[in-house]
Amino acid sequence: MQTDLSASRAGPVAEGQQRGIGVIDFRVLGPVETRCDGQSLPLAGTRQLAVLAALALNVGRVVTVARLARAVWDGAPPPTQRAQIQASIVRLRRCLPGMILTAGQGYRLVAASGQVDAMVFRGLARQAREAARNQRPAQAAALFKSALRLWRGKALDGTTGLAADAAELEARRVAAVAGLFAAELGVGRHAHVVPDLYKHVTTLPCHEPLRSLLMLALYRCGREAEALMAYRDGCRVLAEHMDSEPGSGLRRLARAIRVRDPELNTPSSMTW
Amino acid sequence: MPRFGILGALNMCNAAGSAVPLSSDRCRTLLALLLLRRDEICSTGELTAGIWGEQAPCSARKNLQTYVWRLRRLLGDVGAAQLEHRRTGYILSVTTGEVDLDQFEYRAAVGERLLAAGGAEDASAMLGKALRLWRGQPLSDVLFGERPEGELVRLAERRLTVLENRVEADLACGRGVQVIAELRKLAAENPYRERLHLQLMRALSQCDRQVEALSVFSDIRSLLQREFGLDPGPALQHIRSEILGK
Repeated sequence: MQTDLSASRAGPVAEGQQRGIGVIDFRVLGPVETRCDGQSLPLAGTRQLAVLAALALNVGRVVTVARLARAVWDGAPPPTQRAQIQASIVRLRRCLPGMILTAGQGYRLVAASGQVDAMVFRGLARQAREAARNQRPAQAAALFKSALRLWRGKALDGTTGLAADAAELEARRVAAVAGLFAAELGVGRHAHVVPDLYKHVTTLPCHEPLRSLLMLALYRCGREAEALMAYRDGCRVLAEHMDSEPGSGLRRLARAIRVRDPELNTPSSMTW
Repeated sequence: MPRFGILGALNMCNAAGSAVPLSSDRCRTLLALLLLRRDEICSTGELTAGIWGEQAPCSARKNLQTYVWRLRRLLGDVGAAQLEHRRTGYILSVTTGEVDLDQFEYRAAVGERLLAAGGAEDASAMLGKALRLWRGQPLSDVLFGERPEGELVRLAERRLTVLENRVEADLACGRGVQVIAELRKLAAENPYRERLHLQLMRALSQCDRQVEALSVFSDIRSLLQREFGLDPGPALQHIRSEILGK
């Protein structure tokens, strides 16, 4: 889906790009990496990567030195933090001339949002949800797929102080995965998605939207008993891990499956 | 062509077809992780988690390099698959068809298309060929830190579906008698998979064993009723009335 990427890059051109250093892209949906014309730039060291990731996640906005320090040291910055952050900035600037500006109490990465994979991901996921809302599941599925293809592993891999950002990105990824499955069900590919849904439900057993999609997919394959078994597993897992019960959506779905509610075969039955 | 097997115990064969021993446990785990994510970059963090789980030693990174080095030498012996270091991790590049799982998916897809197109005889042969690639539980002999449980569950589900499709093709060819024993075992192992019970009923019915077919129905009916308060699905009901009508 290169087309989607280049389309979003064609947006506002950042100042930094006009310096003739090629197209830079910042990647945080996996190990943190910066590339110039597709080639990985020699940026290494946990500190530099954390600073760069924090700047990229807030592209175009000022990130204070205090916040950068939190990203690097995770709550326990040494007394020399300011000097060390500055040293990281100097090294980063050597690779990214003109792209990191000093501003107010911190620094600002000057780039278009289309140069940061997390931003491209959010844009595509937003368009995908929009398509799903407008009853265009095939388009939604294609957009979710392009969005998810940007992921290369664990978000912000290689950094330690950005756990909250990593968790947020991960939640967005899982939401996109669920969105993709819902769209696939919308185009009648229930049989095709069952194995992958089992995989995701195994990995994230407490995620109720994914479990409800698995149940619905199984139901539409004529596998009602297995759908109810998946529900039962869900009840057990939620009790064990969260000391809670399934939410009303999941309970309603299980009831509908038990009575083979004809509503379950209509697109509107996907409430997540 | 060198071969990698993950549908069973992990194995690796050179182009001549002889197995290359993988003696170190950690090297085996590393190879398994790289094969599951073939042609993608696996970060150092993901590999250490896969090998050691949450109890990675301080020397994990250094050890990982040693395992990579050893594995590279073995891969060199096999004349295969490049294990490259990238800035963010490692990538194992394989050629199409070198990994048994890829072959399985390819044959299964061809077989399923044949079945959908009405070529039951060829479909049965092709799906059978796909299933014969399975030698046991995937990666059964590999010790993981963090087990790739989701992928293992996905593979098991996929295998069972392909198996059901092969049986479907056999039934379409009128070979009910040949699949009864297999279906009895499968249905017992997977009591909630209605399709297997349905297929067992059809196989028995093909052999004029209607009474047994009907008892399969009443067994699954009471099981579903007892466990879930559920009636058998329309497909099962349909085959039952067909048998009763005979």
